[in-house]
Amino acid sequence: MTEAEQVNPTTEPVRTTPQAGERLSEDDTRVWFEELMKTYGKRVGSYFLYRTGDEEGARDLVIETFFRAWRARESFRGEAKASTWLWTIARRTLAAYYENKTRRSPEVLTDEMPDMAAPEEMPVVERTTRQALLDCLETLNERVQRSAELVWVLGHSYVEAAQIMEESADSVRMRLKRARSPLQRCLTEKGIVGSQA
Amino acid sequence: MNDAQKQYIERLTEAELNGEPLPEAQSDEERQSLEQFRQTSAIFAELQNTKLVDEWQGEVWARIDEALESETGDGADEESGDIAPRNDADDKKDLHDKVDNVIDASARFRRVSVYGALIAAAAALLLVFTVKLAPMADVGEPAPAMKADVAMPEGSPAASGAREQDSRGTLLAKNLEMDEAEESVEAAMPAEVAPTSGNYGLRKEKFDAPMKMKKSADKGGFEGGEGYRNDMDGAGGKAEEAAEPTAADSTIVAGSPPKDAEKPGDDWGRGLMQSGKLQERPRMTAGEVDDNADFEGFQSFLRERNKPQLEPVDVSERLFVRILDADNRPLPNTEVDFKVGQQVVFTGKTYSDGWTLFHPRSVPLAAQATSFELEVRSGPLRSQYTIERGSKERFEFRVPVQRVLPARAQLDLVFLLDTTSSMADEIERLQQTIIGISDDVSKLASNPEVRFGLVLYRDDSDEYISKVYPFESEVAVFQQTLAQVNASGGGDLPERLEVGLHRSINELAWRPDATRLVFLVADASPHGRDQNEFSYSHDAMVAASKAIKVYPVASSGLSDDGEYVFRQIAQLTMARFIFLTYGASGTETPHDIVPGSFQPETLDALIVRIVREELAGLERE
Repeated sequence: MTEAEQVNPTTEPVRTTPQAGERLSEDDTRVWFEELMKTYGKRVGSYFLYRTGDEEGARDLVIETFFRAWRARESFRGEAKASTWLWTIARRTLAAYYENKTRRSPEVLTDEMPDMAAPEEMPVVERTTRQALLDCLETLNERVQRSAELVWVLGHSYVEAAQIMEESADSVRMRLKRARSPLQRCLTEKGIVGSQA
Repeated sequence: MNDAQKQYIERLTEAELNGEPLPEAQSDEERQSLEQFRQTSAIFAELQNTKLVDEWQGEVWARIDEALESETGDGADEESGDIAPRNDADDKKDLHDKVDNVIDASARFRRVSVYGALIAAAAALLLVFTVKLAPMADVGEPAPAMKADVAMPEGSPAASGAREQDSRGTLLAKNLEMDEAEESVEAAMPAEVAPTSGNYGLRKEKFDAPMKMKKSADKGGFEGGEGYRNDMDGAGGKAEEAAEPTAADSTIVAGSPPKDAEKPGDDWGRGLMQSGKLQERPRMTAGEVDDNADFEGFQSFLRERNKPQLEPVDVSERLFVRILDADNRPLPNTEVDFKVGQQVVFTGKTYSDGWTLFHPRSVPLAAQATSFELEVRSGPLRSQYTIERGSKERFEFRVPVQRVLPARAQLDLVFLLDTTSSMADEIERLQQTIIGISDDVSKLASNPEVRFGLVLYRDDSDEYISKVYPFESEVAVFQQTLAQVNASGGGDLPERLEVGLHRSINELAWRPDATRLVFLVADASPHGRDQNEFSYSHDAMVAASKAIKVYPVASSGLSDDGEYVFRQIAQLTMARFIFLTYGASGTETPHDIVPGSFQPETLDALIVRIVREELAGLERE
């Protein structure tokens, strides 16, 4: 059992992950990809939901991310962790989404997105809470923010986060230790958390 | 939130990360923190329980199948089972082209924006020089060394531009092609920056000639262990000498725009912007941190970021010494020798607030000493003191003299700029910002005698490696020089920051009684000591021994290594680390800064405030 699994037993390794240099048959690739979606779909969704505060948009971004991942499947050679690879694609997808929003021409992205209504059973974290969390996390510097996103929002262990960020687990752990106080203070100031339950 | 609460939350976080039971709260404050901790964790847990209805996976497969169909529909051969070794590159390209439309469109947009900005900036600069500098070239006698290059060739874009100076639109239309615009600017540049002027512009082949690291009077202190001393004796004589070309550094860029030429008005810089010749853009916001104040955090940062290619300096022990006059007023520019026995291991010079800083563990000869003898030199007076090591960190000594200040405070202000192409996007904004700063500083209520210096640097194999413009007391002339700066070259990391820093510290004619400040604006780290004879950490310590503060301004894209170097330089010279900030609230920074530890403000306001603070110690009663 790896350190990551010890720390976070909910992490489910993808069983058919290609090994370094291995090329899968089409059937195996589909199995691998199905498991990839099952394993990481929720985390990627959490990330997009927290970043956009928009359930429908988050869902579209998840679909877009995995579609891009499929298109880029040949770039995954099994040398890095699937989560690292997928995380990079997710961040790029989000960057494209924000650039579209900035340019106010959402058709570039949304043209390729299926038109779906927001399902009713979406997460219950309120929009104001998410926005407050987003604001508070954005007061942290980028590295701290990324560490926090990976561990607290996406549910990676700090060991996995360290692998994704290509640095030591100790660095991530130290950074998160330092980050929790200001984050909690910020959430308290915004009235999101308080001394009374 | 007090320190005890912070520590408790750190213990909670540690336990949570390790999957251990949370430590029990022992006080009301801790109980409150625990409750908040649980609530925050609950928010995260809820986010992690995001429900995406199952159909989303079906949507992905539907899109994949659709793409595969179009792939095969386009005539691609269906591989038999093994999908990895697809060889139809063109077909794959088409597929990827469709998928990456979003990113490609964005990238194109960015390229167009950057090129547009560059073209506009080039055209604006051309106009500036045709309107302002072309007439100047004919007025008065240029500095002798510039004579050969001042006249613009007949028929050059600059010369023709002078005839078309009333039509900015015409100029823009004539310079839509980037290459043409660049040529125009080069041709219109004054002699001291024109690449064709043989004695100016640091050329690669000349730079490659032996260049000995000037350790001034420190005699090998960095590695030899004899310590640091400043070399600015007397009335700046040595510094003046250093500004003259020598055999080793015969490539110094000499001179500033012709002194006798017609000078534009005081508001020339602002006028540039108001007239639209330099396009007004949103101001840059920035924050600052004092790593000497949060020294524990800074040491953690250094430990975390240290790498072999960097130049770690052992700053773990600090001795702050402040020299006051008989009336307890800070004595600036007072030399303080730190001695072990009779051996001087470091010579500091007090900043405007009377402080100097010595790091004993950074100098081998001082590392084992149990005490230091201090000799304070204030004019003809020599005062002796003893510091017992380990007793405390800060010492104040009062010497029996009355402080004598110049009639007006003197300020030598240098901008040390990275002008490689990665700075292109920011250089125009920097020009505006610095123009604003120079205007504001020259109008400070304390009415200082300000001189502005400019040092530029790029990288090996570029048009130049570094350029040093001597101090200029006319703000408008300085602004002219600054407006000529463009960004080019570079293309990789690192850049020749260490050369620019070395020349700023050692070759400019700093005034001995001035407050001396350098603002280093860059987005890349320097070359390591193994790649040249200069050392940024050595020159930072030399700066400290000359009472020159170096304020690094981290521009966008500064790497972790760059941040390490910048913060080292700031800490060693008792300056502060400045960084550009982003986001609507201006609180976002990619650097390792404790959240909430800085207050974002516009960069020009921040620098003007720092200048004001630096001069505050010199206020008269």
